[in-house]
Amino acid sequence: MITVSNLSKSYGGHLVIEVSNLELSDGIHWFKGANGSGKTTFFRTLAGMLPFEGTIQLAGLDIRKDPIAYRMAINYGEAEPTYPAFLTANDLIQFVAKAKKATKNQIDNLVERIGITPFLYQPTGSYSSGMLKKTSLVLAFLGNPKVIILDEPLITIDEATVNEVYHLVVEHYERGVSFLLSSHQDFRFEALPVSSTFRVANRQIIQL
Amino acid sequence: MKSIWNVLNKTLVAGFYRQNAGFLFLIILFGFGFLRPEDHIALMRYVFASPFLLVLLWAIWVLYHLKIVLFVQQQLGLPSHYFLYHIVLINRFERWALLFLVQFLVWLPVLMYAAFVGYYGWLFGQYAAVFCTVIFLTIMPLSAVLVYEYRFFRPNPDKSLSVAISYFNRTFTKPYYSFFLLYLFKAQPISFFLTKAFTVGITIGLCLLYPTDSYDQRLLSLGALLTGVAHASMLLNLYEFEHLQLPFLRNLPLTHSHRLGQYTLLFMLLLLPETVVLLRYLPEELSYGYALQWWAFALSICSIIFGRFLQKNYVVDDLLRHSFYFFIVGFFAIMFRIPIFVFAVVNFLVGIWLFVRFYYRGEYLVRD
Repeated sequence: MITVSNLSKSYGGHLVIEVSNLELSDGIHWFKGANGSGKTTFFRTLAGMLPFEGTIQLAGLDIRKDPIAYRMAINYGEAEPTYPAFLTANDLIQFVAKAKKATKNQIDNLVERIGITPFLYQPTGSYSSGMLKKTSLVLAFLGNPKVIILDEPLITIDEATVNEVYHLVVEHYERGVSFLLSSHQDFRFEALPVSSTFRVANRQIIQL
Repeated sequence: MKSIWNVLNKTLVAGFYRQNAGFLFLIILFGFGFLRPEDHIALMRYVFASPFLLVLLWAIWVLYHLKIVLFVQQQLGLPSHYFLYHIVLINRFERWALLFLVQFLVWLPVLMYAAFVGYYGWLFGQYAAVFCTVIFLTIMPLSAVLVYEYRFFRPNPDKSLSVAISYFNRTFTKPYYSFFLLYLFKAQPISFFLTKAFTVGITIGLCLLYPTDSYDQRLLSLGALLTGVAHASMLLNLYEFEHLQLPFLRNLPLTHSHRLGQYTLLFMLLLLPETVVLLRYLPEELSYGYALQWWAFALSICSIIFGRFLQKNYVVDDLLRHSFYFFIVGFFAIMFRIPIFVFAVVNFLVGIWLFVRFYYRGEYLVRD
């Protein structure tokens, strides 16, 4: 499904991650690694948010040659999201939903299940880190992506939301959506049918 | 104490200059680009002789002072800077000394200019005005220290939403092009106001100057060039704002034409005040066709400058140097009677090319 070839990503000449060849099949893939190992950079690169050397394809869609279709097929939930303090969660959701072609029903369902209704119309500047994380999770599930990348999806959110995210992942997986997940620690996602586990270390990605 | 100063220096002093380098560059460019040192001395002798003008000058410096205070207040409101509140744990004398030093260093451009013109004021015997100015220059940093002290002992002020804003948030969804405009009003109000005051003032001034002598269109065209270049630091803010606060934009499946359209609409809104005053004060000798060219020219400068930011990860030095080069090239092109619509078309074409080629390749890197 995702094919990565000769990928290298540097910041200001400092190499962060290098992947000569990586094939990710449909399914759920778990990426582990220490702080600063390059997981987030790899995820952001896959999501089309960072320039890089090499090639990335998703179900035959090239990230450079098919930029729109590629981005329609891949969503990304930030590990530590930050948003302009004056925008509300609703502003962000409506904006992303329009671009990702999400329906009103889908928006309402996600807002309800992830539990952001109480602060939907408040500026994000007044949010706690958990509220920001919940907003980013709603954004990550919008539209009809083939792949959803969730970077540290469970940090800072409450127990009830952890359960909802778990069930959302299961439901989407059963509908054919693939996931790339990361976490520093073991968590209940171990109960998911994880297709493969990778370790990100020393600027490399190694399948365990 | 040295380690605390190191942190304050990096977060507040260097942070202020990093964020406002473009703004300060424009002040220097337009302050010293048009007026020679002897002109400044003559001007200040005149100002020192008039209490009204002196107060007016102080008012301008107060705006700069407010800009500094607002910047520090904003930094103290960022979760990433909450650790600065630990400064309350050191004794008051040291804390005040450190805060005064912070304020002194960011107040330095005003102090240096005041020392330069004050020296000549003193030589010319304008003792009272110079003395009052020295007192003013001392009170301002001290007042800022008091503001910071107040804030340090009252972190996380309660911010309740007004009924009107709550209603607005529930009733309307903010369109994309309004994100940056709201950011300017919320985070950069003084820079925004000063830039607009400058460009609108230039536009009105040149329109009023036009009929007084045998000027031609080039005079107003130079005004359009100044207006466009004056927006460089604001456009750098846009570039930084989107990279730091809206990084997911590059993950959205939007076509280049859609994104270009949104940016063009944003630039049109940014230039709206100048466009309105141009139409209001347009000299009789000039047609609306020329006004359209003027507008397209200013707009195209925004387009090419923003394209350059995508192409190259700009740091302050680059912004200053390249804005200056661009202005000089534009100045000579206009003086050699190259029509501004040609200039506008070239700018648009290059701007679009830069956008299409570098939108996904551009990367924001924080450098110290």
